[in-house]
Amino acid sequence: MGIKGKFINTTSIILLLPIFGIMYLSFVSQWNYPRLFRDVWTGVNWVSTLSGQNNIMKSLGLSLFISSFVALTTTSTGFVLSRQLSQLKKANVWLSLSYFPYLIAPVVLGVMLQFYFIKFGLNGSVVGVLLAQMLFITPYSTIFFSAFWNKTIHDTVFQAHSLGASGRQVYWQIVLPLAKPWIFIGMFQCFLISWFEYGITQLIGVGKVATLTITTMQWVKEANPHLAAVSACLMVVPTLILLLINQRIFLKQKDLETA
Amino acid sequence: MIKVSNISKSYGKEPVLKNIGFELLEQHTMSILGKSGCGKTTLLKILAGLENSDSGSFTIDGSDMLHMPPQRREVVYLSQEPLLFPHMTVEQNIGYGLRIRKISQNELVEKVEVMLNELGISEHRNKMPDQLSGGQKQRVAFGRALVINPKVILLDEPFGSLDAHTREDMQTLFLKIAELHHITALLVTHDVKEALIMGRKFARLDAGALTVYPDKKAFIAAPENGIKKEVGFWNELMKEHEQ
Amino acid sequence: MSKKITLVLYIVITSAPILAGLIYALLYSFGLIGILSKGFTLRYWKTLFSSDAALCMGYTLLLTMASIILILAISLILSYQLSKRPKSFLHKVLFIPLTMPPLIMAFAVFYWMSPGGIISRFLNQLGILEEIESFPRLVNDFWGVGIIITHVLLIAPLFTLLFTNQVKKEKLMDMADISYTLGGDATQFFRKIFIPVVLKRSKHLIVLYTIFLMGTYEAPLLLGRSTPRVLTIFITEKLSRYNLDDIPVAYALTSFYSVAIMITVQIFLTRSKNRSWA
Repeated sequence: MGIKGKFINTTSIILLLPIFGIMYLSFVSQWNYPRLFRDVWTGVNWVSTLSGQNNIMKSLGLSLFISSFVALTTTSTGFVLSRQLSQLKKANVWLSLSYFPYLIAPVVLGVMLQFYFIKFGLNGSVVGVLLAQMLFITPYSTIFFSAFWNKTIHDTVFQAHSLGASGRQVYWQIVLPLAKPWIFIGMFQCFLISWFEYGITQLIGVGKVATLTITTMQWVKEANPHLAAVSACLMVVPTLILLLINQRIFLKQKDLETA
Repeated sequence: MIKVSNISKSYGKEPVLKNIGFELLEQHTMSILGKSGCGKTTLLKILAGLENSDSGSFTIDGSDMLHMPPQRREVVYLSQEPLLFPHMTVEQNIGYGLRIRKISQNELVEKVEVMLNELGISEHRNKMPDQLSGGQKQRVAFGRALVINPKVILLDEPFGSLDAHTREDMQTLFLKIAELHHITALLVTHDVKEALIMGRKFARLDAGALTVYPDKKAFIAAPENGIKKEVGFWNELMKEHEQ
Repeated sequence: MSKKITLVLYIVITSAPILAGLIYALLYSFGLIGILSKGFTLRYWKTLFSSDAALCMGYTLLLTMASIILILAISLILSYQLSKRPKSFLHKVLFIPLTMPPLIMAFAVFYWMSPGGIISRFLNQLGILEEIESFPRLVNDFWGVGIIITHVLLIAPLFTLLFTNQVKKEKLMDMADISYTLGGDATQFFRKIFIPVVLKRSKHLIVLYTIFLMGTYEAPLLLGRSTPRVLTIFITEKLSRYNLDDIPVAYALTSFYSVAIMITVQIFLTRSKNRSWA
């Protein structure tokens, strides 16, 4: 193997280290320096978590609920909005409005909006967190789906109409089947953005809405890297499984972003 | 003088080229007729140094080429797609090989200028590749290859993606320039007419085996090239109409 | 649904919150609202360009630039190697960091690289490291090494995958063949063709991720120091402090950052004419 082959292999190993690190941390305790492998192994972190002795499983449930809800609403809103926008004359100008909420750091967005959330009594509530996340994920979803509504789709729709299909038939029999992979990927992307979110959730949820990221951070702050690692594993493993099922999901978005 | 002998190549158990051998005089063009999948691209890539052969030899004026890296062979490969460098203008594309050789700026400008004029694309000099038509792109690709004055040019269906009219223009242009620059070239094509127009020497590549014809007459006469059959078809048609 | 209603709904969703938030932040930063409000003043905006706020902006910019340059260098080299070896194991592994949230990546980097972390323990067990104190500071350090590494781990794999796709789309490796036969060696091809083409085709992506990095929050939260700190940490800390005079400064910086992002986005959207980023 040449230098280049070694370079590639080393990179592969480095990329695997973070995930190995959190898995390792979740299976050890009594982690006094410089203990690494001896007298540290334990399943207790996982047992206590899975049997509900700490707040992690509850956070998992809450995270699943919040992210699924956000994914469903933002995907459908984004799909409908992007279609309407694509029929406007200056579609791109309108679409550019979506970039601001999506590109401004969520935590700064939270800072700007905190006053209003407090005013409407949404601070520290699940509804508040849902709304806050939707405020920047909906624009993302709109941008995502705007790439779907290209000329080919519009031509196909026109073709179907000219063959005598009603608006409803076109939507159900032409548009939705064509959009299916897009909707699937878009929903997954929106789910992930919400699933990964920390800043705005912390700010608007004021720590009371304990999603998995919030709980992970709480355990880190309490200097318990082992429970933090269990929590981190629960965040990463589901995405990893989905990834194994379909790598395309991840690349699709990237294609869109480079387009 | 180019000399190729006994070049063979297999992918796994699949033989792609079987004992290829031929000779070609300087400033001559050899047309090789072959269908897609006959191994023609592999042969050209081996000669250009972009693929390795399993055995055989390839010399130009007696010096061994097979063990020389592609960038030192001065054997340029041109494919059906022009593959212009997308971030460079027409001028920069043509000058690429010269810039790599670090020749003086004056000489570079002069040589590129001559090329642009000969190819009739001076007015497009500052355009980017995506602003050119298919024929123009192919001209730039030619210019980029010719400007470095290579020992051999390998043409892999160079006009294959062009429409019929542009194709004829390009064939004429190539013949003119080949004579002007004393070019030695190897052209593979699936088009008999193109092979006849462009070549001075003729061969046929079929399932990895090369047949070299002694002269044009033999190439026309060989039934596998289908020329007589074609002529027969047109004659038949003419007769029907005349009656 | 009529077009007008959709458009109104769309503006309400995308622009109204930002606008409302910006107005609030601006009013606060000019002393027009808030607990300490004593009427219009430029006092807080002035401190923005003199005090630690200026340091924070400079630091954020430096950290972003360092991260993006390193990310680009690594991704360019990796995508070139990967394009030559399309079936390599690395291709599969590159997807894995994409499944990790920034917070978790920062957490993992912390426990690998802190003085009490895994690498330090390894070195200790091997007898290379005598005591924990002699391990170099790679997290919560002045230069933001931990933060930069986290950024690289999060984004370089993604860039590598996208660059590799770009290489395929542009048929760059076929152009490498052309470049070889024209007399160029591999290095010349990499420098004169590969890098410029890939960077040119990916410039929107690069701008997009530079903007993202300017607003990075989780990695500096775990791996940064109290001074210097990045923009997001500065803002959130100033807001949660007891010193009420800090709040308008935080809002001033918030306004400044948001407007800067809006202008950048607008410039790049208009420059790319009708091509959308998405």
